[in-house]
Amino acid sequence: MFENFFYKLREKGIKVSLNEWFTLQEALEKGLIGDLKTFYYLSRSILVKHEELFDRFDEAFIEAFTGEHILSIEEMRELFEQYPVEHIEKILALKRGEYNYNLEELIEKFKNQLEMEDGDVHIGGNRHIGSGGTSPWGENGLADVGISFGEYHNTGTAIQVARMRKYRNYSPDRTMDTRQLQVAISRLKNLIPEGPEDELDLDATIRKSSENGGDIELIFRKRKKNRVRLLLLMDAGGSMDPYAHLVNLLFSAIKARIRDLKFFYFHNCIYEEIYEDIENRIAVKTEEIIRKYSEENYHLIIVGDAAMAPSELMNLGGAIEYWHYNRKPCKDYLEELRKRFPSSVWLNPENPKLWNRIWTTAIIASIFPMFHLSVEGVEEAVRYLIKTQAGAVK
Amino acid sequence: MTYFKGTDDYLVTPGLMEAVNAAIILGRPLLVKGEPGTGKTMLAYKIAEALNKKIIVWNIKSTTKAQEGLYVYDTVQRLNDARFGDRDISDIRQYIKLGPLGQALSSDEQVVLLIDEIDKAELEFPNDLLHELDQMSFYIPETREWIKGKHRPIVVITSNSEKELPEAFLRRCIFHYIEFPDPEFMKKIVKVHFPDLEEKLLNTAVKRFYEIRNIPDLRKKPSTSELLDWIRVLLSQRISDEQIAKDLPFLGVLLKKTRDVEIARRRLAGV
Repeated sequence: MFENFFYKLREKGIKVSLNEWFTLQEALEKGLIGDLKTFYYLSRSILVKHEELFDRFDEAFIEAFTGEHILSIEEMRELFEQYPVEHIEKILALKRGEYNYNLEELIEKFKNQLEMEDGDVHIGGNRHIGSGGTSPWGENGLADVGISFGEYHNTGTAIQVARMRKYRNYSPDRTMDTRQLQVAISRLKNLIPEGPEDELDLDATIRKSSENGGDIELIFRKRKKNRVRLLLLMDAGGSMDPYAHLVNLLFSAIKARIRDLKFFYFHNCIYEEIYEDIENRIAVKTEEIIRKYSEENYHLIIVGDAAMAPSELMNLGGAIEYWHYNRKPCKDYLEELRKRFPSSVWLNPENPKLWNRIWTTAIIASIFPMFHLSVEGVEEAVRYLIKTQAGAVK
Repeated sequence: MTYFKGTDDYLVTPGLMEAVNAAIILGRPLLVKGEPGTGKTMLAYKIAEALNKKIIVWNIKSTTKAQEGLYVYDTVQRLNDARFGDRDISDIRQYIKLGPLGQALSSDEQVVLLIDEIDKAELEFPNDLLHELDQMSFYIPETREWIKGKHRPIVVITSNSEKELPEAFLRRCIFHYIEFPDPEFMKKIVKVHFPDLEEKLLNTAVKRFYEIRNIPDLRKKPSTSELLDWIRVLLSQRISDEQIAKDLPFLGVLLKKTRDVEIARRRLAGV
């Protein structure tokens, strides 16, 4: 019935599930939707679950319900036949019994209303029956106590509300959410007892009680809290630009899940200094970072495309910045990192099919276990980190 | 039929009203998001008040487990009773305590269940509620009892988007995002709370309030409740609207961070 709308929504990247679509149908059947404005709000509530997507919804709504096409009598009859007559009467704000239209008369009346409405907003171009509600009659009954018109004070029709495109600023670019990444990362755990002793230790209680000859003695212990530690090194070099969005997603997912997180940036490859803040070139000594965090059982994740000039990886003085003369080649630092952080991985955003073809990538992949920066890749990487975690049962 | 239209002191927009009523009629949970101070939590109380129903509140914390919402089996109490022998411990039922969801499902009349700040809990928490909310029933293995819901509760869930909610859960909800009110709507809200407020003072205070809110780098923007507090103070101190326009009296009521107060003074005072 509103298939066009359904496909418009999908076209705009709003993945409406069938479940939600049926809920909307159910709402229609239960007479919840009396006019197009109600339809606008309700379909949004039922089909869209992220306010960031409201703007795309508005676009789809405008495209689906306005247009140049004027319905022919046949098309309209087809639409009407899918609808119970009572519903059409409701949309046309007809009182039951007061009018006794037959179907032909009803269609004629509806068509007249559409033509009357065919002003600036091309309501007449509507392909769909629900649009009858954009006419003023559907507004009745809204002005009860405690209600204001429109989303705040707007008195416009549904199309006008949609046209306002109020949600344009709600960052609609959200193709992949961080949730799956967060779920993957939250598997990293290092449970350490902490805080007050308020958790019943069943084993100790039973042991103690049997020692007492059946006299129950309750033993409490500290709850275990997740104290996993992670050192994150991110490549901020120019070749990473296309992946900036992806790295940001990973970063915010890690930040949300891991409290003991230390992060630094590097430029293409790691030399004697890495950056706390790459824009302002606030640097720290790489050796110090290695010493400090490897002693505290940090996991290490390096994010980078591992693609660079061979000289950058292998040579002295190969650093990309001309003013910077490195006294040790990057490869040495990488090997040192790998040695000192047994639980370490490299996440590469490049297509894994290319890894073997890029010389430096192949070398780095022989130093670090390399995983693809994708949900699956991160899951695998986390599994590896858990396996190699200090004190893990091998 | 029960139809929610807001209350005398809680104004709703048509979008919110449609969402609430759809949630009630379709029997789906209503998920409400929005800026702090837009009345997300209050909504559930007002639905209960308007429809004359009891409200059951479940405040979610980071340690909350779905199971606790259904029931808790108080083993420690039972163990303790066994030790002192002052109760019949063979009756396990007395150690089963229904949680908020359990109470809402087993209630004799329809209730409003508020699940407040669901995003505080662990990531999988919302999914763990799906079955019980869909089926309206759950099993207590300890007593071999099925608790079957008599009336589907009106479920209102609030979230501050600290964590993203699982898609399977979202698909079942009716969603509404409460926007921060625009100045016109805000005036209506203020009038509900201060019916005798002079028009001039109202206009100036609301105008000033939005000027402050629109300062770009405030750490914490003032919300509706702060505006209402501010107006209350202004009235009690008999501050004139000229003074409000000229100066920013009692700015500390609106802004809670020293840094924000300084920024606002620099930007707006005496301008």
